[in-house]
Amino acid sequence: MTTSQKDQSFNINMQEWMQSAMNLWKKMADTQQSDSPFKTSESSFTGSKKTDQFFMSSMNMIQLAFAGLFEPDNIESTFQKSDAISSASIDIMQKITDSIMEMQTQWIERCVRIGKETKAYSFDDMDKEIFTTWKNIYEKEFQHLFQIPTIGLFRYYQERVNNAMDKFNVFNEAMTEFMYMLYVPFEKTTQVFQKELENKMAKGEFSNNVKEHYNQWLRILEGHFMSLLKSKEYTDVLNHTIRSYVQYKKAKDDVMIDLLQQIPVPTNKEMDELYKDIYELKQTIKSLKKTVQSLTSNY
Amino acid sequence: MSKPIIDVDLILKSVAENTERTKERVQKASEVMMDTLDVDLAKTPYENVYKEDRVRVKYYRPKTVQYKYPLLVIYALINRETMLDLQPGRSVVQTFLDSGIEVYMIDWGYPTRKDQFITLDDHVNGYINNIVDFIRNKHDLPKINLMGICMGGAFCVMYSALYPEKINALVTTVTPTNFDTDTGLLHIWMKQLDMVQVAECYGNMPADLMNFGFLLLNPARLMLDKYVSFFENMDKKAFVENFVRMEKWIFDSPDIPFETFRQFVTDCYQQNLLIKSELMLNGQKVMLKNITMPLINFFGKFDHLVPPEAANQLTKHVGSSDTEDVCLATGHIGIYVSSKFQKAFAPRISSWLKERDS
Repeated sequence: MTTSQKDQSFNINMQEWMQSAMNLWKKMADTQQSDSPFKTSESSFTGSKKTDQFFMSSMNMIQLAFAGLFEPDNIESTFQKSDAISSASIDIMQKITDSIMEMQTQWIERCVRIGKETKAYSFDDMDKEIFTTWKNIYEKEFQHLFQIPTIGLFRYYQERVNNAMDKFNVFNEAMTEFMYMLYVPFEKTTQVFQKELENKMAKGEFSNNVKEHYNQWLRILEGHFMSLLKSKEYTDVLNHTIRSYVQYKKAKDDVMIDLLQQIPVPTNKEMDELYKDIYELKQTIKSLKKTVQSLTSNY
Repeated sequence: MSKPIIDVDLILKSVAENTERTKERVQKASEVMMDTLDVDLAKTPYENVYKEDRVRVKYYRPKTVQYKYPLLVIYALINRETMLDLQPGRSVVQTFLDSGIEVYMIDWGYPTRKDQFITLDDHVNGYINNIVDFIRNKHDLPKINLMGICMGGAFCVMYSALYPEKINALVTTVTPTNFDTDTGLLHIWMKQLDMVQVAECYGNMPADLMNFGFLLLNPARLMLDKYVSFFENMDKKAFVENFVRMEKWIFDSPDIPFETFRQFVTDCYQQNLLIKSELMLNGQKVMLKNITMPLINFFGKFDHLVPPEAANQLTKHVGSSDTEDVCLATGHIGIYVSSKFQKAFAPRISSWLKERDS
């Protein structure tokens, strides 16, 4: 058999296979239509007919493409280019693998930087520095993940969810620092109280009365709290906590509004507009009422 | 043998005794807690005589009226006016009634989100002015007496400066008028913290957040020692009743309307406009020199919310020649509820008003 005969035979086989495939799918579609409990008459609903038409035209397009592809002239070209196709595929795969490797490297570098931020085995000033360190790590390495530009139809919804998650993390960090600050007076009180007990023991003035010890401990604690509450550091941390909470609440409310819009419930934003209108109307009515009263009393 | 530094045996004996006492106390406390407790507040009978939006006016009638001018009491927007009628024997209202004063008291109600736009002006030129006119008409009098508590006192000062012709005598109690002081933590925080933002994101200033802020003013006493003290006395019925009554009052807090809160923080706490006679309400300047009626000004020496420096400047800035400052050695709430000051506070107001009742 010559090359031309081989090509012709391949082309005929291909066409026969396409035809049989079309027949098979058409039969299956017909069977499904006749068996379907949701079968509708063509006059009332033309959905099934449209599906058939779409299916047939798709198959015809495939058949046409293959017919063109396996024309004697094209077959030769196709087989000649097969090397190029495989080479391109390998090239694409190589690029994807490289990208994944590069991303992994970036992540490893990120983790290494986190290690650099926290000095190994260094616990000096850990209680003071840990919050600053974590804040820096979060801002430099993680916060960007929540700020990656979003795209597509639902980009605004996604952006609001990302924002809420970011603000929640920032608030959590601030709250932890604030709670730690409230714990510090207890730690300091224990140290001072211990020293005072030692002094009393040395002087032989140690009391057996537990209540007396409690009162002394409370006085020291109150003193430490007063110093803390008046300090600038405390005000700064409290302010940071309040601000981050406000931002988190606003971001959370934005997500909640998106959710509420899916159900028949008015949102706070909508109700606030209504309340504002009611307030202004009431003001107008009260003012008019006073004017009417003064006018009637003049008569 | 020398005396040991720590008498371990004595300590162990003391711990054993304490454990036994605690066991007995807990057993008795469970009986007290299960028993019927009288923890109701504000039991003095009254009549609601006026209503506007969420605001109501309570009218307390004495057995015999012995004063020409009735007294309108204006409470703060923080917490509730029930503090003035906490319980029999510790009731400012009852003391006034016993003297023969007709008492009207504003109940600001519980603001909701719809009240967020209500301003300082709406409170002073709106609600208070309408209520004063209502009482004047009811008694056919040109003037009435006015008494304010804390923020309510600041409202009274503003009102008396704007409508001096309607007020016979003014009583201010623990009233902040000079906000340019760093003595109280509240004054520092209100200047430095973004509380307005908090209120804005909630619609109104949430009462629970405010209460948490007040607890943070002295965490050792208010969040710890107070409950240790309760644990030590929970087998005493009268103590438990008083304690629960105070807890009910402290945590019965309405939210503050956002716009009023914002104005009060920025105009008063941050810019101190009231004492400088620069506060504007409805386009009118609140001039303290217009306060020409008699004025008595009470404040607490140990008040951590409104320290003496925040309250004792008022009498120097008003136009009245009949003024008096009274500093009592107590705190912000002690003036009204402490049994020690039941005779030094309300009876003194009654007698001061009587002298100016002609």
